[in-house]
Amino acid sequence: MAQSLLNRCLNFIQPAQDCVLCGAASAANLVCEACHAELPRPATPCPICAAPGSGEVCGQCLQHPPHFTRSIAALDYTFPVDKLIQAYKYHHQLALARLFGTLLSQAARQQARPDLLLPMPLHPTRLRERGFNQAHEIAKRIGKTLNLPALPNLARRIVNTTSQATLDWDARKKNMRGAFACDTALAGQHIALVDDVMTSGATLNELSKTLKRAGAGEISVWVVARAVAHH
Amino acid sequence: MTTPLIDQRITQICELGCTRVTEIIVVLEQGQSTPETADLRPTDQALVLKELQAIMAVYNTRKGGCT
Repeated sequence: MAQSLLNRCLNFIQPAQDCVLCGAASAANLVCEACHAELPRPATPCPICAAPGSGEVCGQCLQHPPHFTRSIAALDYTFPVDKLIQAYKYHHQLALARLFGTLLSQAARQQARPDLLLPMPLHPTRLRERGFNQAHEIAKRIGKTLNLPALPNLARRIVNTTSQATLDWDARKKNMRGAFACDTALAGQHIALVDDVMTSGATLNELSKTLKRAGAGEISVWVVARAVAHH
Repeated sequence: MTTPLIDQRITQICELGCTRVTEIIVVLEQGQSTPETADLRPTDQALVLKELQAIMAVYNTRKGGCT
């Protein structure tokens, strides 16, 4: 009786729900324990760009060192992570920010601690269309968990670029040139860029370049999921 | 000055990963060749060595090196 009353009270405070992936009861969590355990995680990624590999610096990073120092991805961008991220981004499933933020915070705990978090800026036009910045929602969660400031206005997206998803690898680099601006002197700061997905890394690299020009000492990239690259 | 052949070979060697690139540099520095460079002329091997040294210079100063 007392237990039942307690459960009802707990349900009121934190309602029980079904797993967004399999529909099984998952208490207050978005994903049940079984699905959580089976989410695809990177095995031996490149430490610089987090691309799947042998755990060593990959050939691409050797030949073309990016402006960021290291990257971590909490998950691989394969099924069902791709579906989760699409639901989050394009179908306003904002509650998923909590899951992504938690997973990324866990992955980031073993990393060098940055001075601040910078969520990938959206162009104001894109922000109006989408209604929210998906990277900022995730960064807020991480900031709360790891006690780090998330500063979404540190850099601005000054060009409303064509969606990278429609472009090939070389075109992605060209598309991003001059896309960002940063008016703050960053004086040696270690900044962790937060984003939902990293594909070619062109956008994150361009933003890193802008921040380095503004004086940033070190750039880390923290992404929820890393897509398998096809150069 | 590298040629398309040298560029292509450097790309192939880099794809083998950081550790193997370092091993190849050591062998080439000793004046020997590796399976990856055996078919190249000595002058081209020297160019490959120079390029690989330049590539690795970025990472040798990096904390953690190859990993």
